[in-house]
Amino acid sequence: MKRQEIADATYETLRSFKTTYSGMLQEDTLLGFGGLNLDSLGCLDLVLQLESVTGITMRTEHLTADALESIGSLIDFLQCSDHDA
Amino acid sequence: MPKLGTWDRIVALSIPIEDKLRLLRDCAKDAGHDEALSRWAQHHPRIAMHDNWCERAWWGVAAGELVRKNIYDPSTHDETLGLLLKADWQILEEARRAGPFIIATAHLGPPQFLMNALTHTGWFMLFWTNMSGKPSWFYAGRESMFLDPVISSGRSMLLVKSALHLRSGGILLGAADHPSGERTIAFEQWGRRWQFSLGLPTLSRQLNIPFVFCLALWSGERVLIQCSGINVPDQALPEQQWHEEWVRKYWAFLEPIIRNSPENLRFMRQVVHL
Repeated sequence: MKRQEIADATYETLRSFKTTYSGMLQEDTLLGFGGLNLDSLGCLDLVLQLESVTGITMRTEHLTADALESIGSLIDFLQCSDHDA
Repeated sequence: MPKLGTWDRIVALSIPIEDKLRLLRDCAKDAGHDEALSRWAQHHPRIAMHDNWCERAWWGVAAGELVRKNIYDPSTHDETLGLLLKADWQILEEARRAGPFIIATAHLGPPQFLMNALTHTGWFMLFWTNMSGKPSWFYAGRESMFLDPVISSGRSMLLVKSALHLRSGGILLGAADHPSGERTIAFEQWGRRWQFSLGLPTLSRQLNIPFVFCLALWSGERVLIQCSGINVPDQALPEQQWHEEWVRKYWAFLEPIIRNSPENLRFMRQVVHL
């Protein structure tokens, strides 16, 4: 999948998530504290939904310490997992 | 009450760990006069029911701290793990032969014992553990086996990394009486509030992964491994009901230990001063 396609799927999925975040979703929006405030359960929900929507299976070797830091890093994580499929 | 400093003196002795544990039993006989412990027992009569409850609870805390100190000392690590009665890993072996699974433990019994014993099995493990205060030699070469739910970068990753590990065929050890997300189920029993996190049942249900409840518990001056049977998630239940069912089963496993085994009440560490 092209990065833009992955990004579109990510934003659409995030828009269905109930969060207290009122700002615009963009690549530097944090997933955790200071942004969407997703906890570990929320991050798991998000990742599993994105797998279902994109057909990409996330891979452990690409799960770096900052993979779940922001929307942008999450898209990168998905893209890396897709390249290795 | 046992004199402050007694634990330090016993720990410093150059004698086998089992002998230190027996010496702590003698000291524990004075625990009935421990004001904080006695007060706690008076406020929780349905937990502190046994005649020698304070003595056993004090010993459990003192023995647990001895284990914690020695298990992370390379010169006494193996001797400490030698306290384990012939480990009955049968249930866990059976679960492992069937595929990935979750070992759900709790903060009861000697601290860190189960995790350390499992690191020697050679199984494809991932452990949820507070990594602070542990020596670097313990992690050297195997940092990927551990996830710290306390540090901020560990918190968001906790369940995603655990899910990927399980999907790779791995085994996860985590405690549900420690935070793994904001959602919890709490209830009052015996005048105390008990709260459990939903990370483990969520992983089990979302990934359709079986789970076993497992604890390392004091049995005299030795340690035994106690496991439940292998449980599979009930996919027919709605999410909230599944979480409640999971916590009900978890509590059914823990409750008899809390009620009948004062030496295994690790949370008494907050009350006892050694």
